[in-house]
Amino acid sequence: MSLYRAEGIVLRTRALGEADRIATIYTREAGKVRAVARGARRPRCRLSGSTEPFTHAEFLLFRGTGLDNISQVEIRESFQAIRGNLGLMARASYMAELLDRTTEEGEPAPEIFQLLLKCLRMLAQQDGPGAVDPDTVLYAYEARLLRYLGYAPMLDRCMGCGGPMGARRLVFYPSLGGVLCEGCRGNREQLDTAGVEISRRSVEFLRWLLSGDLERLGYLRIPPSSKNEIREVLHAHEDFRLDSPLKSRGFLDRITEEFDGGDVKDG
Amino acid sequence: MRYAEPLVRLISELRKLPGIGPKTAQRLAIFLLGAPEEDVRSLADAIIEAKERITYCSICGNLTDMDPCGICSDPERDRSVICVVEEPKDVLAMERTHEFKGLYHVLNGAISPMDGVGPEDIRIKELIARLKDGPVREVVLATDPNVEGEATAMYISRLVKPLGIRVSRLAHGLPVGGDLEYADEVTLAKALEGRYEL
Repeated sequence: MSLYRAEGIVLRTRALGEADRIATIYTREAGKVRAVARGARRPRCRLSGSTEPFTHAEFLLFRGTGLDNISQVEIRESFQAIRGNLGLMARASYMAELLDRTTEEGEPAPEIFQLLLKCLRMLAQQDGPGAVDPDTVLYAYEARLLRYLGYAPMLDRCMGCGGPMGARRLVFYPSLGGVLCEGCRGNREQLDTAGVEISRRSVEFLRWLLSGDLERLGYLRIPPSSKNEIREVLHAHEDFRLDSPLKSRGFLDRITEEFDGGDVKDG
Repeated sequence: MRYAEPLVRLISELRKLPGIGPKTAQRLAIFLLGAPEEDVRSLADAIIEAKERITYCSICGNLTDMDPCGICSDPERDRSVICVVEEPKDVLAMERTHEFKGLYHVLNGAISPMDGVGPEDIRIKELIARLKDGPVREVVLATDPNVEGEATAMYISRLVKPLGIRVSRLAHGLPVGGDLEYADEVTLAKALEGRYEL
């Protein structure tokens, strides 16, 4: 039985019993942690507001025999702006679910924590000159998370012959985790998964999203056609690694379609 | 030693209830065995009767023993206001205030992207249909003040506003009778945002 401190971001919550909640928190120090917030579903409980998804806080946790218990929370950033906007909330849910589904508990990865925090900050900051397009933030997050997990898509060279990629239109194969040149594609008619077409230009954007300077993401202007291709490649890549597609994707697609690009202008 | 077969069966049935573990199930079963027969019979009858007679109101979606439900068919209620809630138990909570005189709409859930619950899985279509052919002037969104409830409220407001109907949301703030220093930062910030002039 011991108390420990951890700085973390709440990924999701689940109801437990009458009035409790289990929060899945991604911490800087301990990686993913699941902890019980006692009484958090009662309006008067101090833990209810501070264990809402996307909250960045300092947690005081109590290690018990089963799940850890949340003893105290001091909020650093509540990210209320994200929860108060449907388009941003849908993207942040996608980010949180992807992280929850691809990581195990108790494997610290400070660079992943930092990535999530930076991306949530960019999502929340939609006013002023420094604002970054929410889709660009989401794609940069997805690409980098996959890279940190060891699944960086290979875009520089052909996965078959190792030769340079010269063609204007490339095809990305999730089962290979990269692109194939035309010659190798011809030799592999019987590929087990379908490929996703992507233009040379979109590949350049994707490479920037993977390894460019995150602080300069705001300068990146990705045209809609490239956004679509990048999204398709990332989705195909994620789906191949996960046993089932992310649940939040349906909602994100839906509000993007229904409300004119899932616009993030008003709540 | 094992319990007799009927007792084992009773315990295993009780265990299916939410929040009931093996020990509690055992305690309840032994208690029922010791209770007067008419009490036990009355409990069993109540369960069967509720299960057989309670349905969802075809208008508001609340639990009811007649269709439309008591609130929907009450001529005294204000038909120009609809309060949208997540669960039937939220109707009871609102009714306890004795302040709301309008009608209700029970969604039977809230949008939760990470659990795969989308707008099509809760009774939003039915709400929009009600609004289109009714005298409704205001929709009060009384979904829970958490991320799912907020998302549901935002989604509905985007659909309802174009119909020219006023959309309002329950206020967030400090619990009555509470202590300011014990309020969490998010709630306090919300309370500050929603302050009003005296």
